[in-house]
Amino acid sequence: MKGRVYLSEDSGGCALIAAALDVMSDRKEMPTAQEVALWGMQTGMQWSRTGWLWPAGEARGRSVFFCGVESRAPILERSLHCLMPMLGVSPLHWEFVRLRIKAPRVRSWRELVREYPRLSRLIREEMGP
Amino acid sequence: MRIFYYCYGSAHSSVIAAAIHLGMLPSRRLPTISEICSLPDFDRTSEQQLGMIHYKGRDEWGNRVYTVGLGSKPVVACRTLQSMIHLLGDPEDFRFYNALHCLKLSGKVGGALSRRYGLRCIGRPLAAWGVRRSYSLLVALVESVKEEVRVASRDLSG
Repeated sequence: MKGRVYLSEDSGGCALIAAALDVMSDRKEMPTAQEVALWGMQTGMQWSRTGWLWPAGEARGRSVFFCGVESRAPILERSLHCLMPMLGVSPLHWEFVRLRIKAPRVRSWRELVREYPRLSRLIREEMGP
Repeated sequence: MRIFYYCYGSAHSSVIAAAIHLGMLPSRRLPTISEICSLPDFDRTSEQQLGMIHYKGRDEWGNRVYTVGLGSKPVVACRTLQSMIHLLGDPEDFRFYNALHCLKLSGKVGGALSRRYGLRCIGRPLAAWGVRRSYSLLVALVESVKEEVRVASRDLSG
């Protein structure tokens, strides 16, 4: 299994948007805020469970996950790298995308929809073409 | 089974809990400051090592014991590790225990002085003194972990 994990230092809002943009990258038009929120609900994501890795689907040959980590993603990334061999998985098959942008005030679907235009633009800029 | 004791920096409370678990520190009396400070990994990890998992040894049932420092939000970070285990492994084989809440304020202050501010000559003995003050809580944690592990090992073996 090859994976890509989006990590954001918030409750998971930015990582969710980045994962949504990744798995919907085949579409000609940008997903709307409502579409992303609905998609996020379908992943099972719960705002109260910050830290959980939520499955987002497949993109570019990898399983995509997203996760809000609240603080210092590099610490968590190191832990996951140490843990993976214990699970029989090579860390080389997993890609971690640490987002610089964070949205600590986004802690609900309503706030996500409200902030989506600004956050999705900033995330697209950060992720590049 | 793999047993992980976690705290802020894998330098104090988790190291002591693992040492008690593995019999490197006594569980029936208070260790001396010297016994605590002479543990090879007590008050040693650096900021750059936060998040790294440290193997400490095997307990009497053959379980592997580890420590890990998960920073200032250890419970959230622990949840991420557990969700990765849910994805790729058997959650029953990986047990996580928070040792940080067992350490009283003096231990935390000593640890921060030593590791964060580099004041080892004051911080390390203060951290060891704090460990002594918190020792009964750490022993209670380890005893509850061992009881849980003992029951789980018995269930797994049928």
